[in-house]
Amino acid sequence: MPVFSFFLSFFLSSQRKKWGIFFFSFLLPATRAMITHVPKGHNVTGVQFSSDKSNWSELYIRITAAVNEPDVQQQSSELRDSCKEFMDKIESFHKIVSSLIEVMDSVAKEVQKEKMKAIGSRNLLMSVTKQREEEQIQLMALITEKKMQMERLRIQHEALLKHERDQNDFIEQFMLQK
Amino acid sequence: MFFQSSRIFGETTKFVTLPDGVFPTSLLWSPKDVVAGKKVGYDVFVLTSTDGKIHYINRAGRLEKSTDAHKGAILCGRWSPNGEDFATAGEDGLVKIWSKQRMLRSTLVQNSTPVYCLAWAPDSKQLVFTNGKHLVIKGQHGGSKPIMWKGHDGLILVLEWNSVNGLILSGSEDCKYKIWDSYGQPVYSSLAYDYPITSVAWNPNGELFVVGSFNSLRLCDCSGWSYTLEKPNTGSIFSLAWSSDGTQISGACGNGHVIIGHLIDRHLEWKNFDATVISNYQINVRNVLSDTKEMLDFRNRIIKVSFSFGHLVVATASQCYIYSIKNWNTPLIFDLKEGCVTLIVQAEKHFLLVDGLNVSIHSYDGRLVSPIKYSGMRAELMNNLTASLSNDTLAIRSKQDEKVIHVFDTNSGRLVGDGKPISHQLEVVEVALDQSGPSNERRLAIVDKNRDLYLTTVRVFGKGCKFLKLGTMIQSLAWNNSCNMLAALSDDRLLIYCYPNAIYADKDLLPSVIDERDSSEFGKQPWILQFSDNQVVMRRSEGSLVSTAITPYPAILHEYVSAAKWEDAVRLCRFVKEDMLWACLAAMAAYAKELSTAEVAYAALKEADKIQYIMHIKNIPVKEARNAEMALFCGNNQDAEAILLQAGLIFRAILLNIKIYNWNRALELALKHKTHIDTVLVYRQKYLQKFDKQESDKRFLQYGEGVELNWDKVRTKMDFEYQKEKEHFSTAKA
Repeated sequence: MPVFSFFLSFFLSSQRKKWGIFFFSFLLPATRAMITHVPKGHNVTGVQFSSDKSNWSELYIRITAAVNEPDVQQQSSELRDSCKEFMDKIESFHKIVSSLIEVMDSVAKEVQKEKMKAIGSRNLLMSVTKQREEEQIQLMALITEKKMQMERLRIQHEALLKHERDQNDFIEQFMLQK
Repeated sequence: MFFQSSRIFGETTKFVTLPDGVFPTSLLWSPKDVVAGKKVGYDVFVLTSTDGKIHYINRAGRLEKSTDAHKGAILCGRWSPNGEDFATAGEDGLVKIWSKQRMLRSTLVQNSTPVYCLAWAPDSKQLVFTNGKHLVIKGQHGGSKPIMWKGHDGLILVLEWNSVNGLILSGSEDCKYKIWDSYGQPVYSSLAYDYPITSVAWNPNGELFVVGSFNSLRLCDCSGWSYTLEKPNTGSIFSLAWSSDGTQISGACGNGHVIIGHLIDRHLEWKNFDATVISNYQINVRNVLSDTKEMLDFRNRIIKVSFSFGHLVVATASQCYIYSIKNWNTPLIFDLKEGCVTLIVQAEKHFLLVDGLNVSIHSYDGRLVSPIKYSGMRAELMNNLTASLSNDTLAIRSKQDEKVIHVFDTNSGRLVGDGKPISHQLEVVEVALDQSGPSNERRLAIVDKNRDLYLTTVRVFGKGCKFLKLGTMIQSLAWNNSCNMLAALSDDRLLIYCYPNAIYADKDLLPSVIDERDSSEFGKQPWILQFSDNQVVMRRSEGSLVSTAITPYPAILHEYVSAAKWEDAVRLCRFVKEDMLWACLAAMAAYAKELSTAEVAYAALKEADKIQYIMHIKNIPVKEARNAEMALFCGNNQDAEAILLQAGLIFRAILLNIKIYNWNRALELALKHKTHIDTVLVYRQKYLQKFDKQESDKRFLQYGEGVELNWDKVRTKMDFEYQKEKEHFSTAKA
């Protein structure tokens, strides 16, 4: 079931909207002329404008010619609907995929960042071990120093204890002699 | 690499811009000009650099002169202590000496390996420098043979020679630091630590030194053991320098910082008090008996603290505080002239203060007793070993001539005796004055270079000082603070000379007045710090303090004798029953001419010959003659003669000289007083006959000619003399 559709597209800059409309009205007879070429038995059922309204740069004019064959017409309209549906689906699919890609991209970025962080902290960790080792050495040195000091004090303490013992012995002896 | 040795505090300003390509290796101010006697400011400093040049830069920061000195870098540059010479050592293995006028004096050494460091001897006549793992001491003008020895297992990086104690300190890549004496004998070797030693520095007074290496700074005693270890996060410390008062240290660090350290935590003890310097401005004093604490605050930095004889003397950067243990709240304060106190020596009544170039004695009420001055004085080089103070006398070993000791009266500040310093035949390393007893019996103990101990009397007139040898191999000594006992360490033995004066009374008694004990329990090479009352405090070579008690009896005996309580003294000796104490008493009695006590004491010692002699002395009716005989007993022949001549006992004086076979003197006296010539001649003849010899002395032959030698006649003449003497003195008594 033939459906004739004419797609005319005009590329107009948004600044020239008015011009576009004017141009469009100017073109109408030409369209009509085109419609005259519609074969016999077919009626022009309507002219459809399809455009991305947000952007006037592109303007579609769809002229549908309905054929006076009802079942064909029906079928074609069905086909048209299914096509439309298909188109919508594709479009939504495309949207979904692109959003997915976007998400994936951001995830990848995150992952990269985390990876860098991990490497950094691993290095840091390794250096911390080294640092700790160094600190340990330093602390050990300090400990040996303190130990030596303690040894000195211990010897002093012992000497003092001995001194005390001697003094006590002396006192005892002295008392006994008396 | 920038080794900085200057000490600039507070705001730093860009001082001098060096030409490109100059990397300084060391920076030195020329030493103070002390010859003029006044402080002369530093005018020029010297910079040695990696391009082998010496740069002279003046105070204003202007480059005055650059001299090509070495090929390759100059690794080290040092001024001699007298400021006359400047020595540099370079990568090319040369050591060069430059004059003060910046001219090359000589090239001392040509080595094949770089010379990393060098140091001057205290006398500026010798240099020590590194040669790889070896150290070399060489005279500045050649002459003596250089001494070379292996110092370390690694490359030696740093050296320093202290001018007060004469010890060389070296640090090496083998992570050890070592101390050597000025002959290259090892004194101390440290453990191998974790990192190579990159810097060392002696404290100006030679008591301490610091050692710097990677992330560590170690403070050590001059005997080598370390007080503390500090682990600053600085990287390697490349250079260290002390402030002139010896309380602050600055170091140039590998991470570009300069660290500044202060000495704190000095700990002093006296009887039941202990004082700790807890920060730069605070001292904590604790009474151990009552556990009371006192916190002393100061406005200025504490520089020197001394605590003994019941007084705490604190020198800060501007004032001197004197605290009495009775009153911690109100110190006596007086201002210091220079504020750079290097030494405080205390005695019971006053103390010696060395402040910069001024040496003075102050009493504990803050009054200046007397300033001390002598030509060639080097106040900054005095230390506890070379200066000793007692209540009336001050002894200082001269730095110019180490054989000479200057002895001052503390009240007048003048030299005692004939106004001449005392000199010994060898270099003196340690002087010590006794602390009690009358001032005219002040004794000075000295230790000479051979480590022999001598005793001498300080106040002598007319004749030279006699040094009497007390002991050998003495490592260290100390007088007791309350009575005249001397403690000495000699070769693994601790010797207590309970009565060192015995050497003046009866030399034979000296060995028996020494209380000798084994000192091996105090470790190797201990050092006596203090001898107070009955306690000897020593420091072991590894730094711990040990104390030991001695018997209290000699001190009590000293007390009795100084109060002339001879009977009590005898009773004490009888109670204790020790030969040592009897020997002390015998010597004391003999010295004091106390005959009956001496007799008792010698009897206890079973010295029959001496008792007999004492009894003989006791029988002499004339007091002066007795004194003379006692002097003779003590071995002072000259004193004995002088006593007799002074008392007019010519006959006895002649006889004395005859008895000690001093014929010429006897004849001289006889001729001078025109008596008893025949007596001398007769005795001489008898003496010669005994040995079957002929007279050979011309004088005796000459006088012998006209004189009839009749023994009986002389005998009666002598009896007559004795009779006359007796009569004379009995009438004098009546």
